[in-house]
Amino acid sequence: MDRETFTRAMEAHMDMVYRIALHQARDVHIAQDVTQEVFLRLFRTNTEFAGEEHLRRWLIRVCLNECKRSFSAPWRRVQPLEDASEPAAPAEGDELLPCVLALPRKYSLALHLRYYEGYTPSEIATLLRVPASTVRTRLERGRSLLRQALEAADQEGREPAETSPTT
Amino acid sequence: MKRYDEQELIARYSEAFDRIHAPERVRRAVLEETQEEGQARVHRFSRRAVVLLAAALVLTLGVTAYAVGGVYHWADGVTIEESSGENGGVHLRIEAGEQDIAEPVELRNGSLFLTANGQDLDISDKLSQEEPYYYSFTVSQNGEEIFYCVAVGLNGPEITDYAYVVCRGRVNGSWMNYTTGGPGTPSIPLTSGTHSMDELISPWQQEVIQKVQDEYLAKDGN
Repeated sequence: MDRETFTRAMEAHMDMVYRIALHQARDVHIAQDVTQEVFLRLFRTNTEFAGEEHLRRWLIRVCLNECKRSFSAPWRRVQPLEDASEPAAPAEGDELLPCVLALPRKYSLALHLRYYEGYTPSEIATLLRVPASTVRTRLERGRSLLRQALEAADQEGREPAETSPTT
Repeated sequence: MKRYDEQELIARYSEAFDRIHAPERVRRAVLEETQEEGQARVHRFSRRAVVLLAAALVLTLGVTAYAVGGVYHWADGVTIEESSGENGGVHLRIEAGEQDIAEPVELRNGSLFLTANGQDLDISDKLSQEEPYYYSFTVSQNGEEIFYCVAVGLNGPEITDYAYVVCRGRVNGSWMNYTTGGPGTPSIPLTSGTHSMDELISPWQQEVIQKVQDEYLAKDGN
């Protein structure tokens, strides 16, 4: 990829990649590492992108794979993901982010791709390589859990309610 | 209690995530590394504690196809810029930060453990000052076969004098990098300056690196 195209792609999509990495990693340092690695791969790839959307989906897939890889790196000591250092800091005055990041990953990722990145359930199914029905179930369940968590947070203060174990 | 409908959820979601941006230093790191395409080697670690550069140092091998030179970034704040120094030495410019390095070898209750490839091995009885202990494996990462070799040896009579070198490279030999560490590794002051290769890694570690390059990694076209 030529440098000019790469720089444009980086400016256009780095935030997207970082947000998705944050969803998966729940750790700002890992999310930064993953984001860096994704764009290095983009720079080195020989893939010819059919258009901007093709590039976006490529970035999302590489980001998700890189997140998985970072958890299974040979040198990583076995430890519960809940002990990962430094969770993402919530934006000041906003309760939604900790509620989202407290959801099981499969739900929070589906919600993010739907509500923030604007993908349809079928498109999400293709990205995540799961059936569309699975995506719809995750969206429904994720919305319900997020709603509960937000409503509880509103009532109790800033602490997000426990929804279900992180998976 | 407020009830959220779908439109409200979407609105709040957008508002929250609009505020999240990739840190500027991630952009800078990517731009710097891509400027030296193929030269920079990056090791990133995501734990928190004090960095001991004498304990783990990332270098490219200054022989054959691997030229000295590059910028190495740790996860947060630590940068090592390597260039050819005076009289054939290696010049390092170091900006230390506050990040830990995940080491594959650890002393626990007097025994030395190697943690790699999903294994947690007590290698206390396998160490000597004469010959390092080798542990190697290959993993598939993003469609590539990556070879790892850990060699652990003793630079003194005590188990606390252990040192290691980790070599990692694509199986076809198109690239390789390595990390050294352990309390027995030669230590350098955490200051910028020119250092000889012998100051930075023990002769046996240099031999391991050469051995992995020559014997374990096939060269492109072979």
